[in-house]
Amino acid sequence: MNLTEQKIAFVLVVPLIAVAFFVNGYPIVQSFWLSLTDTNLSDLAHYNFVGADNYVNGLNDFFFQRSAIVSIRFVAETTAMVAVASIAIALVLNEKFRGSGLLKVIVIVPWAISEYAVGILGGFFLNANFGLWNGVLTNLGLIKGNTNWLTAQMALDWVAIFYTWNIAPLMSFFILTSLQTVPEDLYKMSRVDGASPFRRFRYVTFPFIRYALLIVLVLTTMAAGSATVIMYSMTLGGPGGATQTATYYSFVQFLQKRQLGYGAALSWYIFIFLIATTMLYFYLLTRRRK
Amino acid sequence: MHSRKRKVGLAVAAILVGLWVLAPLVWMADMTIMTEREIHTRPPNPVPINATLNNYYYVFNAAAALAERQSEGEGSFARSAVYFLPQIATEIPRALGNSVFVALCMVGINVIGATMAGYSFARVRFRGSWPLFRFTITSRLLPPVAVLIPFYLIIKSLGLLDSLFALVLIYSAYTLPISIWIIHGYLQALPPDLEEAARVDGYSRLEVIFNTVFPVMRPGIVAIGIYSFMLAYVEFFFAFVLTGTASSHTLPVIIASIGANPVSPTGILMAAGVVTMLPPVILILVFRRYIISGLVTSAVK
Repeated sequence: MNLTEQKIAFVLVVPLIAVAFFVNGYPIVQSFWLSLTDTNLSDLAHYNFVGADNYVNGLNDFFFQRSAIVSIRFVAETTAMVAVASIAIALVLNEKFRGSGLLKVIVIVPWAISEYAVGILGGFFLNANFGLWNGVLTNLGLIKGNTNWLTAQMALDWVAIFYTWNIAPLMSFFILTSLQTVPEDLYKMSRVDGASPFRRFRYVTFPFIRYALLIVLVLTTMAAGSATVIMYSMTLGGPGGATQTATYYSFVQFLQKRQLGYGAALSWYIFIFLIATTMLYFYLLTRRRK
Repeated sequence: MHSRKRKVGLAVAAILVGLWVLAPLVWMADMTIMTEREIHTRPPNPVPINATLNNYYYVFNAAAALAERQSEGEGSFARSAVYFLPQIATEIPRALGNSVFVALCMVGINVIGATMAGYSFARVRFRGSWPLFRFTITSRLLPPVAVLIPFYLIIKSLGLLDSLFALVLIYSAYTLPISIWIIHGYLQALPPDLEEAARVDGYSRLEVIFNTVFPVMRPGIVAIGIYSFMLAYVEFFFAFVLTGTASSHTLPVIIASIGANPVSPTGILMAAGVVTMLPPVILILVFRRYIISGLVTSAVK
């Protein structure tokens, strides 16, 4: 019995081990090795071992510090908006009403647009001259003339809003899937007991979606923490670096300045940040399970 | 319960969700039937005056658009969308095919691989299960930029540069950990009673998986199917670095190449965006039944 269990696990997990170790493991090791050298993209064969120099330089790099703050703000804004939006959308989709089937199909569509195209759409929506947002607000009499929305203060918020618009639908599907595991009887019972909607959500629904919410939080943090493309297409990291995230900055080091070693070291800072955040979510959402 | 109050609240919520999702899309679709000059008016006028399907025609036949530009001469500056259209736009139909192909491969790999691995992590006890599970998920937290160069070097040494197979390989490594995790989480929410009953009845482990677990988990499987399809379908970074010619370019790469110019044809870009949405929408329409029905509860009862 025990032996067959082992064998079955072996058969089922072998493809995974192959993928996880050879396709994920090796690049991770190599990227760590790169971060300890001064490898340049134009000459991969010649490099020196520099130890922790790249990491020390990263800490003292003003532009990296600025981009790290931008990243943290972007991750916080996006994660909060996605969590609220995905739960709200999932709760609506879980109800049965006329047109609910159609709404389920429509809701997923924003995720079918690539990040790059979302950036173009967002940038044009807010365009000071031709953008619809200015047009709507002017017609409502809220603003006069053409306002520039992508300023140093607001640009990042707008990118976060469009990023949320892009990924929240997918995340809501994860929540919806877990909502469907809530037994109907529990709802009926709590309704008979006269529980308020908020208490029903907190004590009946929430325990069932807790794990899905964890997945959503981690996925969103992961995606927002390494978001680069949408900034590139919407604001080019500007104005004045206001939307240049840490990944964007490491991307610049990698492919424009060709500093592979330095870029890799910066990526490892982001990696550590993401792992720490993920562990925090795990702690907050699974501590009361047992 | 005040059922009328509840109905009104639900209707308002549904309308809000619909608006939030649809408004930008409707505006996007609206721009595709305008001429370039109508798109660029101040103040913006969302009602097209001379509605035209030219932008869609150009998306599928950029060669015709480029030929038209040649015959009109350079004097037609800013009058038509085609003025800023780069040569690479002629690859759009082929790139669409490439994207759909890679995405469908990902669905197959994830549905089979992740379901089995996720199942064994959740239900089968074996040595090293927990550390391995941890590693699979953690390995996904490194930003793509960091592993871009190592991946590039691996693919180059395998001689797979500029091939769709390279993309399939890397997207597998990218989606499988998350899919396994989703399946794992989904199975944890399901009581194992049904499977245990089937095993007591004398079914083997694999029979249990195919006859009992698969049907019950359909919503979860559909979720990872959608996730892996979409991730592969919209991925830009790896596709940008690992593809070189029309034989392996995917759609996000082409759209980015058109959009990266300082002045780009907005109408054609938006039309390409609308066309991009069609394959996923068709996929979701096909699998609509499994997303909507509450299969889980009925099967467990």
